[in-house]
Amino acid sequence: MAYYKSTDKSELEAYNNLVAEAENYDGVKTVRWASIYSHPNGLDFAIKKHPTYSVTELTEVEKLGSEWFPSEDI
Amino acid sequence: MLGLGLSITIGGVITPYYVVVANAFRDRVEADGGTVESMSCLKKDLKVLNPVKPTVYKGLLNYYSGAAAAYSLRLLDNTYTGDVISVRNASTGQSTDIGFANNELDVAALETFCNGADGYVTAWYDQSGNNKHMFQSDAASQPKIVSSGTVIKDGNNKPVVEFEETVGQWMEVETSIGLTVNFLLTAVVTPTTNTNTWGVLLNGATADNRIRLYQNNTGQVRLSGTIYNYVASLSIGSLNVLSFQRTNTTSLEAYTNGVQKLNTTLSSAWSQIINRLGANHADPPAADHFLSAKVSELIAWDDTTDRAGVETNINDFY
Repeated sequence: MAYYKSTDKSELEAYNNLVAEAENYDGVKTVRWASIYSHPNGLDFAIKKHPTYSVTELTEVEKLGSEWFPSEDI
Repeated sequence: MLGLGLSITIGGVITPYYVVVANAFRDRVEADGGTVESMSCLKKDLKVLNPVKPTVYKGLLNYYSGAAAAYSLRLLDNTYTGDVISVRNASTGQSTDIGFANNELDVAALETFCNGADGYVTAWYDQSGNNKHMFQSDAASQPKIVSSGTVIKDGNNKPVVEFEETVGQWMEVETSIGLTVNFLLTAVVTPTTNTNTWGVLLNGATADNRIRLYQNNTGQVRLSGTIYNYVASLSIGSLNVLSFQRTNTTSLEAYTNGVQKLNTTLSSAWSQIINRLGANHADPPAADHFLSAKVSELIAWDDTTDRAGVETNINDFY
């Protein structure tokens, strides 16, 4: 599962809306494409990339590293 | 016996077989020039010969009632009148509820609805009567149940809900469910890999309570922050019946396919253990904690329900 990254959260929200509208989600059982991840540094954001919808403005990465997720005892 | 309790349909009317036999007997007697003194007596006599009673379906919860939450693709309680799941058609974007046919998921209705497309689960309804339904409203995280129009099934040809680690699919209840002094939690799961990083089966509202099935056949339970690892001995690609039980205030036992794999001391309740299925507590969940498995059933009782009896029922069905 690839992701789009950005320092501008609104860009990812726009991508979310683009996918939701194109996929015709009913807004009740399915309300959006995906949740937006916030990096612990507070500066970076990411969202899952839909396999059908690509945008050139966003940076694509293959996966999010462990630094994106708060550490916890395992 | 003659099987007189069966029925047949004549001209659109369902007729008990003993009536058919009585009428045939009368016709034969009359054809030979005789008469039947009383048809009502004849029918009554024939009915008594084989009083077959209609079979009433009983689900697992009819035998082991009082579940705190119960998710399955089979009917668990014959008094439950709701649906099994809600599914989104990936082509149209629209969702619909799917019910039961012959006490199991209505596969034909589901495949008709998906019409060749993939289908994703938006809701898995709680059959316990406690309305602890599981939901997933993010399309990217909804587990899959139909692939290109065909319902995904396990090796026993039963439908399953598929959670893929690499996609990150999971579900969540609106209000977490806690288990207190004595409890039994059973899951029918087909792991699809033995290499996933931190596959979470169930997670509470915090990191302190969870069940993991992850790499190298490791099982892990975490209760109020204390971790217990054990060798789960899972059969990858095959159906496994997992049970977690506490029958007194001081021990927790974990079983795989009826064999005890963990027996450890504990003294606390399993607070809010049922919050998420397939992901950890983080929001959004950590990408390396997703489950790699197909899930058929998950039931929890907050009491001393008979584990062996429940497992027998599960094995008989699956």
